[in-house]
Amino acid sequence: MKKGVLTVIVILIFTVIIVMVSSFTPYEDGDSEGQITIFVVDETGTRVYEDTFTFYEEDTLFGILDAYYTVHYEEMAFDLWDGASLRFNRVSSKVILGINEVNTDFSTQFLKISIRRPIYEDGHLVDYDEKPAQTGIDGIPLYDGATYTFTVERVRKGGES
Amino acid sequence: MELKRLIFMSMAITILFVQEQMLMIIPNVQFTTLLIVLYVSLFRFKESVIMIIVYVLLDNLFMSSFHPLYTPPMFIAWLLIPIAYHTILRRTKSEYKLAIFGLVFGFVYGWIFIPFRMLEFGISEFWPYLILDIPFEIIMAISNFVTILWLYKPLYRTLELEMERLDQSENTYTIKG
Repeated sequence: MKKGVLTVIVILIFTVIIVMVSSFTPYEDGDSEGQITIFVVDETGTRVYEDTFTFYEEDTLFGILDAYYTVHYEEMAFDLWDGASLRFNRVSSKVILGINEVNTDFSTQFLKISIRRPIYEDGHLVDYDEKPAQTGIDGIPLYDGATYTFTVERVRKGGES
Repeated sequence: MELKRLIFMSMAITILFVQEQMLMIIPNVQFTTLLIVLYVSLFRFKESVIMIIVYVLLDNLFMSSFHPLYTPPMFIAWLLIPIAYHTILRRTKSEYKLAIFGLVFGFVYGWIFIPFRMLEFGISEFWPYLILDIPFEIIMAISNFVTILWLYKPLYRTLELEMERLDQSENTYTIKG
């Protein structure tokens, strides 16, 4: 087979695979509507805010926060190391620095986001799945019945447990 | 190791490093795999290993990316090329076989990082990392395949000629000396 034909075939096959894979996201989509609860916890561990909001299809977590609280945030660019491409990829995302009077400086403190999501089986609540957010605020989906906790955490320095 | 050969190796590493920095603007498109495959087929196994070690150290030094969970997988991944070339590939010079190897290597390279990512971020990141990395692996695989298929033979011929000249001049020098 000629090199040119082989090259075109390989590029075509893998382009189709890229398109197929790109349409599949490993992170689950959120619910189209429902209710969420937001907790804001300060550095002393005190729950300062505990509010429940209704959301609809077009809503986002950041949008809800921004609508009901005074949100301090910055658009930050990060150099994320991508092992496969052997380079740092620059990604930009909103970083929540504070909600109302609960503020962080992002150098000694930051707001940790945790998601507690109810798990249903046959329409019955069976358990809760609680884990830290795996993406920035822009990538966190809204789940009906979930609780989003924003906790002030101290930045750990090397060797600190 | 002969001095001229050492200079040839250092020039080869320079080309490898500079092309990668120049092509950084295009994600995952580089001639790194092509050049390493080329060097591995031209130089001895020991020399290839030294070149790869120097290249990885230089790359991490320049990118400030020395990290116990990033640098070791890079070493492992790139060192797979000389190991595979001298074992499963049986020192082939066929650009077709090497291009297919380059295609597969594009994926293997990404997979080698997965266990280290698991150590860093936990087992829950396995599927997201695996899936999100596939497009980058495919770009690297295609880039490897196309560059090796089209450029390996002409580059090999040119460098082989230069290596022969180098060896002849080494012999002449040795006789004179």
